[in-house]
Amino acid sequence: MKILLPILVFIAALLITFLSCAAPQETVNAPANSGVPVTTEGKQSWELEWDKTLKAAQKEGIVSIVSTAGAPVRQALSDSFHKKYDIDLDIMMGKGSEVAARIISQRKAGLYMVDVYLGGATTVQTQLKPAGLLEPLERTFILPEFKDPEIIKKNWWGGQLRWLDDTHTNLAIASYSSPSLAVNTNLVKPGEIKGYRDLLDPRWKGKIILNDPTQAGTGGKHFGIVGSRIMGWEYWDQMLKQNPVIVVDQRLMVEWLAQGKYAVVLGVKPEIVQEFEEAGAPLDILSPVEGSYLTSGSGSITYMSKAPHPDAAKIFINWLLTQEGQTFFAKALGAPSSRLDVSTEGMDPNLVLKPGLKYVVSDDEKFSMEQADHFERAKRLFAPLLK
Amino acid sequence: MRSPFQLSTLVMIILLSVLAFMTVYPLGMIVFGSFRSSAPGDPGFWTLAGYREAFSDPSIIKAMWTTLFIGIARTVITMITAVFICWIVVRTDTPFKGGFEFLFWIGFFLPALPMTMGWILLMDPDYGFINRLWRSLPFLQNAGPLMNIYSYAGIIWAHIGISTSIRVIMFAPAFRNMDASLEESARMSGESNIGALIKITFPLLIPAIMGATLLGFIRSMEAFEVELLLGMPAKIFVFATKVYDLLRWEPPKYPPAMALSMVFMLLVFAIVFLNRWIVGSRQYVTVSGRGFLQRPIMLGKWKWATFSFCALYLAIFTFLPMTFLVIGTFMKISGLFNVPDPWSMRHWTAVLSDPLLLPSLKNSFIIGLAAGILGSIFFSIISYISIRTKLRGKNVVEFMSWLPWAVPGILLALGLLWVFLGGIVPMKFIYGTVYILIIAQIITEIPTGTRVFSGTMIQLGKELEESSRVLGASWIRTFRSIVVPILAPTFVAVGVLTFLSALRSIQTVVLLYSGKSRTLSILMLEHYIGLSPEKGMVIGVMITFIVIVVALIARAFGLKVGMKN
Repeated sequence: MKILLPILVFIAALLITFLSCAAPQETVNAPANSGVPVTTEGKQSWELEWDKTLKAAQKEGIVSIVSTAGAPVRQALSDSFHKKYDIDLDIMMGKGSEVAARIISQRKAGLYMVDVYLGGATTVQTQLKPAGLLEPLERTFILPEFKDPEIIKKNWWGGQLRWLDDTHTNLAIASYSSPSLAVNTNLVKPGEIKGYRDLLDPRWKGKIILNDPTQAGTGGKHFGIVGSRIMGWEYWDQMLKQNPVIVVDQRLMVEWLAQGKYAVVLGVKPEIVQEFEEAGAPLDILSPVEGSYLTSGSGSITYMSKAPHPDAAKIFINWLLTQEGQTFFAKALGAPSSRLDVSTEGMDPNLVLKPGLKYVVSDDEKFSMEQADHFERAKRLFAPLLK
Repeated sequence: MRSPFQLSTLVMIILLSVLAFMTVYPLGMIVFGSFRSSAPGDPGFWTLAGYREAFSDPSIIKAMWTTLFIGIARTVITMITAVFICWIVVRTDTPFKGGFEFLFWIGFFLPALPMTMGWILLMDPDYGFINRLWRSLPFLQNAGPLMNIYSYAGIIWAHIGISTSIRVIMFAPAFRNMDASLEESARMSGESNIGALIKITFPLLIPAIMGATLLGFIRSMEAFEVELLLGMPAKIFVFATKVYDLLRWEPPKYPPAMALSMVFMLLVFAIVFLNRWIVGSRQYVTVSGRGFLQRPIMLGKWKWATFSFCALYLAIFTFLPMTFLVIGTFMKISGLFNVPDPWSMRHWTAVLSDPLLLPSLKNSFIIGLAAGILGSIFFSIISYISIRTKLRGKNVVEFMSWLPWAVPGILLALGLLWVFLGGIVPMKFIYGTVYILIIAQIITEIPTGTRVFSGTMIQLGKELEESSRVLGASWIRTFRSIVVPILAPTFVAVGVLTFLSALRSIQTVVLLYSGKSRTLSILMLEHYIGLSPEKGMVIGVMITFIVIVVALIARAFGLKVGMKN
C-alpha cells in the first residue's frame, strides 16, 4: 500500500497534466504600427519617415535582440548604437536550438519579447520561419540605399542583397568564403596540401581531425557542402579510410592542431583559427583548389512579427545595414560583411570573397532543408569511427 | 470535539499541491511529449515513433552500459573517499581539519569545463605536462603516457574532484551530529579507530551516505559535458550524450529525446525504492534527548598521515586545476605556452569593463540568496514531514522530492519553460524576471536539499519532539523551537549549497532568463558561445572567489549557532 499510493497519485497527476497540455494557446495581437503621413517641410519623404520613426524609437528606448553571434558582437553593437541614438540594445545570446525553443514557447504563450534575431541561418530556416514568426525584412527599410537597385548594386556583394529565402525574411549581412580547412605549418609544408584531394594521400592517415559531421554546426555543414556540391559523396568514403578523429568541440580541435597533435583540421570555424594565429600559433587557413563555399556564419538577420518595439527595431536594422553598422559588426564577428565598402583589415584573406569567382552557397533555405539527410548519411558513414 | 480539518491536513494539501506543480507537472510534460509526434502545445498525434527512433540507434545499448560503468565506478570511488575524508575532518583531531573541510566546499564549485581543459593540458597523452615530464625521465623517452585523459579512467578522474567534494559537503552535517560516546564505547571495548569507523560510524550514517550516494549516482548518469569532451576522441559515448545530440538538432528532436529520458525516470524510481528498502525502518538515532558528546578522536602520530592525505588530495584535485584555471585567464590562448609572448591582460580588461557584469552579479546574488533562504525552509519542511511525521501522504511527498532529477537537466529546463509559459497556473506575468529563476532554482535543488536534511533528521531521537509536545507545543512550534536550532548547521549548509548552485547554474536558467534577469553564469556561457573561453574562465575565477567568501562567512555563522546541546 505504501508503494501503491505514491504511484496512483503520480499517475493521477500525470493525467491532469496530459489534459492541460492538449490545447495550444491562442495568440494575442500586439499593437499595430501606425501609418506614416507625408508632409512638405523641404525634407524628402524617407527623411520624414526616419525622423518620425526615430522619435518613436527613442520613446520605446530599447531593441530586444536574440543572437547566436557571441559576446564580442553584443558589446560592439550595444556601445556604438547607444552612443549614436540613445537607444539600448538588450541582446541575449544562446545556441540556435535553445534560442528558438525560447522564442517559440514565448510566442505560443502570447509573450512578444523579441524584435530581431541575429545569428545563424539554419535556426531561422528550420525553426523560426516554419513557426510563422517572421516578417519580410524589407518592411523595415527606411533608408533609400536599401531600396535603390543602383546603390545596392554598388555596395553589396553580388550586386544585390543576399536573401537566404524566397520570402525575404532572412538576409545575410556577413558573406565570406569558408574554407574550413586549416593546417599546422610545422607539419605541413607550403604546397603539400592544395585541396581536398591531397588529404587522401596516405601520409595524412591518422593525422586529420574532423568536426562532428553528424550534427548541426560547422562540421555538419562542411560535410554536406563538400559531399553534395564540391567533391561528391564518394570523397567521404575515401576520407573514412584516412581514419580521421572526430571531435565536437571546435576549440579543442584547433588547440590540438596548434599543439602539433594533428596536422590538418576539417570543418573548423576560421575565426577560431585566426585567433590562434594572432596569438602566434603555427597555423594557416587554406583555400582548397576545388572550391570553398559561401556562408554567413552567425551573420544573418531577421525581423520578428509583432515585435514589441517595432520602431526601435527599424532604426536598429537600418543602422546595422549601413556601412557604419556593418563595420562594427564585421570587426566584432571577425568575418567579412556582405557590403563591399566595409574594411576587411585584420581578417584572413582566405575568408574574403574574390570578385569573379563562383562560390557554392551553403546557407540558403534549400541547403538547410537538405541537412537532415546529410546528418543521417554522415551517421551511417562514420558509424565505425563512432563505435 | 475534534476539528474535522486539522492544520496538519491543510499543510499537507498545500505541500502536495505545490510539489505536484513543481515536480510532477514539468515531468508530466516530458512523459506526455514522449508519446506525441511534436513538442507539447504543438499540433500532433499520439505515436510511439519517438521511442522507435530513440532505441533504433544501435549504439544506445553500449552507451547505456558505458554510463552505468562510469557512474558506478565514479560513485563507489568518491563515496569511499568522501566517507574517509569526512571522518578525518569532522571526527578526528587532524591538524587544520576545519581548513580542509572549507577547501572541499571550494572544490565543489570550481567550474567543470575549464577544470577539464586544465586536466587536458596536464594529461593529454602527447603534449600533456605530466606525460612530457614522465618522458623526460631516463629510459622513458619512448614510453607510453603515464596518464591518458581520453580514457574511461581519465573521465572518472576528471569527475573525482568535484564529486568527492559534493559528497563531503553532504555527509559532513551527519558526521557532525553523531554522538562521540558511541565510538568511544567501541574503542573501550578494544576496537581500533578504523574498526570503529567501519563497524559503528559508517552503519549509523548509512541513511545520509546512501541518500547522497544515490543522488550522486543519478547525477553521474546525466553528466555529458565532460564525457563529450574527453570521450569522443576515445569513442566513449554515454547515454546523456545521446539525449543531448537529439536536442542539438535543428529543429530539436523532442519526442525521441523525451523517450530516452524515460530510462532515467525508471532508474530514479528504482533508486528511490532501493533507498527506502535499504534504510527501511531501522534506527539511526545519534542525537537524542539526553544530549550528545562531541569530542574528536585522538589519532596520535597518525594525525600527520591523515593530514598529509587531505593535503595531497586537495593539492591534486583542487589547487592544481584551479591554478591552471587562473593562469589560463592571463594567457592570450589558454594553454598555448609554446608561442612568443603568450601572456595578456585583455580578457580581464574586457570582462571588467563589460557593462553587463555588475547587473549580472546583482541578479545572481538576488536569485542565490532568495533560493538559498526560501529553499532551505521549503526543503526542511518536506524532509520533516517525510521523516518525522506520520501524516497521510508523506510517502508521496518524499517520492515527489526525487522527481526533479528523474530527467536530464536540459529536459527539466524545457519542462519548466513549457509549464511556466503554457501551464494551468498562469505564470507569464513573472516570466523573464528573477522571480521565475528563483522558483526554477528551488525546484532543481529539491532532491539535494531534501536529502541533506533527511540525512540529519533521521539521526534525531523522538524524545526531543515528544518532550515538546507533552508540554503542549504544536508540531510547528516544536519544529521551530527544537528541530531548527539542532539542524542549524544543516540549514546553513543547504542554504549555502543552494546559493552557490544558483550562482553557477546554467541549464536551469538558460531558457527562462531575459535581458533584465541575466546571471553571472549566463554571462559566462555567452563568452563560451562567442568562442572566447578565456573570458568565460575569468568569470569562472570570479565565481570561485565569491564561493570562497561566502563559504568563509557561512562557516563562521553556521558553526556558532548549531553546536549547542
